[in-house]
Amino acid sequence: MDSQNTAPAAFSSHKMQDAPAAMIDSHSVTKRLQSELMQLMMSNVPGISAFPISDSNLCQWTGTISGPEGTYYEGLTYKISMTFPPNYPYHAPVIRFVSPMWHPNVDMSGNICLDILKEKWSAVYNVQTILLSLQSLLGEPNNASPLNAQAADLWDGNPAEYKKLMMTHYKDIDEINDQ
Amino acid sequence: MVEEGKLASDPDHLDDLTILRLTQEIKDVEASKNPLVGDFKPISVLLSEYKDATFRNKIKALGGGNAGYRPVRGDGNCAWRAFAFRYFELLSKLSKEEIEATSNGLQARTSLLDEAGYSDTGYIDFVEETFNLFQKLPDMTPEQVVTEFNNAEVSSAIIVHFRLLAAAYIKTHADDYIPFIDQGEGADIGEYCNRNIEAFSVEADHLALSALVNSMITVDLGVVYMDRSAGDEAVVHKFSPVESSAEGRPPSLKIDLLYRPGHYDIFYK
Repeated sequence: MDSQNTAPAAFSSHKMQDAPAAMIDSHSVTKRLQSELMQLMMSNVPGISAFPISDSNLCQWTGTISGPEGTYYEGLTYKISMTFPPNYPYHAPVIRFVSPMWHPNVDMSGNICLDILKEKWSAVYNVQTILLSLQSLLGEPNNASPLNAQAADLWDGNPAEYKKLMMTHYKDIDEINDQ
Repeated sequence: MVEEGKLASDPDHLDDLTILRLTQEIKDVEASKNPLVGDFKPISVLLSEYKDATFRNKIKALGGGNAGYRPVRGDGNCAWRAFAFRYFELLSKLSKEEIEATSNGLQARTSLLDEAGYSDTGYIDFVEETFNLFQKLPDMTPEQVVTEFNNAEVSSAIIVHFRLLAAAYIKTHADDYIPFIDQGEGADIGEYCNRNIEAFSVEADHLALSALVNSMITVDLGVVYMDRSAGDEAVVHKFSPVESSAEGRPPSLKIDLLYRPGHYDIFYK
């Protein structure tokens, strides 16, 4: 890639070139994700699941979230993708809904607006806390700053219409997995 | 990297992994220009950066001789990294016994994390990194501490540990801190700590530094404010722990930071 070819020349005269690389080595990310996977499997929390897509790349996970009881999403299961940066857990993973998701804080591409995945990210969070936060987001949206304004309007305003529109977007998880 | 090249040529179809990798590459280029913790520079270097008389007078007043500073990368963690680095640099010059006493004292403060409600599985990795460094410290030179802190894996973990200690101190001493926290928009102590202290890459404010010093017990912190305010001498804000360590041991450490609006470096008198 271009950036790799041009970058060293830009600071080749600088003595800091010899400084140890500041990037966190991917070994520690791998170790951390392996231990998270173990914890997740051991704790076996109902309604959430996540695991790496392949053994060769621990930085890409797939997961599922079931809608909490007593919410519009009860009985429905959604698929998400999780991509971990090389400096995880110091920076948040990128999470998006793979299943079409009709919700005030999710856009049509599956991008999620959730503060703990952005400016409130902290290194003490992990896959499990993210999944649980996403699950509670399904029942408690932040309607003050919606990505999907129509969903935010209908959330309190017209439950019947909300449920109807949400269901027209819903795809069963088996159908997603077959794609 | 051929398959990534293909993806990279079509910016509308970058997947998340590629975006994260490209972002990291840009950061790595920046990182190689600015080490996390840089080399010591005499105060004359700082002076040469300024033409403005207010700054020049204040810098001259900081003292000559051995005075100087050590730049720290401005990545939102600079105050935390500067503090943590200087803490270990000072300790590396002490005896094995003093290092051990400090380590034991800090280990005892882990109880703050439990009291504040952090789960040990959440914090253990970060805390361990701090005490790994303590273990190695008696055999390390100050130069080796610099190298160690330029390993992001090590210094980031220690920063998270120190951030959690500061947040835990605020949460367990809420009455002392509530009056200083802006309670607009329903913000409370937990929300404040989450947004301003636990969140990685968010710069330390006055409250965070105060809490950090109180949580550590053995550090007195001075922050030299190098700004455009009137006067021929920089204002120094001093932070001392409310509690003091038992029987004067572990020894008290004196850390000085140089603050220029938006950024902290390490100051040496």
